[in-house]
Amino acid sequence: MIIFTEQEKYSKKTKSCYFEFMYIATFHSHFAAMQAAENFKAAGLKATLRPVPRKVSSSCGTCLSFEEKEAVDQRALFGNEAEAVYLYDGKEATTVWKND
Amino acid sequence: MEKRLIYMDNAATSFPKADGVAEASAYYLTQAGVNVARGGYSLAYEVGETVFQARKKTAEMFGVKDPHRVIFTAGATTAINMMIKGLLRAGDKVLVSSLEHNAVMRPLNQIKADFYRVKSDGRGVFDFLDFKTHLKGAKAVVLTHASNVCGTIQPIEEVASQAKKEGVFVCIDAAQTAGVEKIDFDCSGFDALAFSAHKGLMAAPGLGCLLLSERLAETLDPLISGGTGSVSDTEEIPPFLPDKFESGTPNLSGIYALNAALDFVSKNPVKGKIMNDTAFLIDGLKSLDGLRLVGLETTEGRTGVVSVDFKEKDNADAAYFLESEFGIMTRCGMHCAPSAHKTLGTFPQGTVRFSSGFFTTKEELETVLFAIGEFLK
Repeated sequence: MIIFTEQEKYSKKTKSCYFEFMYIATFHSHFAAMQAAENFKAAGLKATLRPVPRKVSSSCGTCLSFEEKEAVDQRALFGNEAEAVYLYDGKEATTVWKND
Repeated sequence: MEKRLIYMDNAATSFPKADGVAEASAYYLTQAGVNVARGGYSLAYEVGETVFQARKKTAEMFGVKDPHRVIFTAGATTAINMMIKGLLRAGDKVLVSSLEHNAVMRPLNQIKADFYRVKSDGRGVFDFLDFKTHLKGAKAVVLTHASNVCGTIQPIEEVASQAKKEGVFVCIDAAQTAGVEKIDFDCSGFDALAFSAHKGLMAAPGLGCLLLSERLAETLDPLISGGTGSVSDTEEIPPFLPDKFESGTPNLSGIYALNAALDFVSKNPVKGKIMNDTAFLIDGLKSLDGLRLVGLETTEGRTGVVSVDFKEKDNADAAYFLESEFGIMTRCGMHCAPSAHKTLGTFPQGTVRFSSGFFTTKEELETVLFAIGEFLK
């Protein structure tokens, strides 16, 4: 698990850098991503569906981006078809956890 | 800048749909929602008349002399599966281009066809000499009319003319061109041509067409068999068209939508509008540093699909930025065409694809170019 400060967390939007950090959760299927999005919503957590960064995977896919650190370890939110969660800063994607 | 929604993914499906499409579908669902070719009552005959008209209009638009050879399917992918799996068997030699969509390549791999990928250059331009060299012994050539990644149009008429000399079946995937590019099915000598109703034709998803030549219609095995409302005293598939390939209740609200869309498309300058947009986009993109325009440099030899590869930035981040900051909807990634991306030098990073439609405005295109410029800052 990577720990980082509040200041390091995702947020500030500027024209040149519209995010600093975000978590990216990837899945085996679009269906699983949609299910996870619904799980986040039901838990009152903000998450956004977006294209999978090409650094993470070259497969056409939908991933879930979110900023809530506390969600990372709540595996049930992601479902059984989750592949991995990454910390992504727009340049590098660092693996936070990965399912075997 | 105020956030709006700008739809630039018409290559995936058109939006908005053609004028009259929603009303026609709603009319079927609310006023005429009965089956066709089954019940012997006047409302069923009214629905049958609309299906008949839609088939005739499709035949007219695509140069098919006999409307019986227009087969309604569940979509372009279904139509392509019907032509591939109904014609080819494991080990059959097939020629394909290097730009094919997975709607073609996955069925060919599934049946274990012995396919050869005809070479294309880095802009997606088909190598006709390579095609001629490998034609002998092929059972079929399956070719996309235009790449869904870079828009490069392939020489389908020349390919058909050459293939005919060798007795090779010619099957065309026109998903990206139907409704936009002129297609003359019978005169071009094609054996099969598949397209969806919801892209260039601006009708509704869930409906496609398969056009067949007389010789292929006789040879082709139906992928699906079942009730047709005809020759119901036997348990055999009817040998006649279109029933042979249209078992089960068709997508009638989709056919009503197509019927309306065909009227709209035939009366409006769809190609001119989309190619003007494409020229504007290409010129604007070429003036920006930090990205590579994929495919041909101008609109010559292209249809209205434009892909770019951001050199220093992640293409998925570009698509996410355009959508989250400017409401611009694009398609990034592989576009279900990995071979095309390998050919175009954009594998594995993929591209961001922009595809305008008949209702896209100049102001929206200007916003797209502005937004890309902002992303590149």
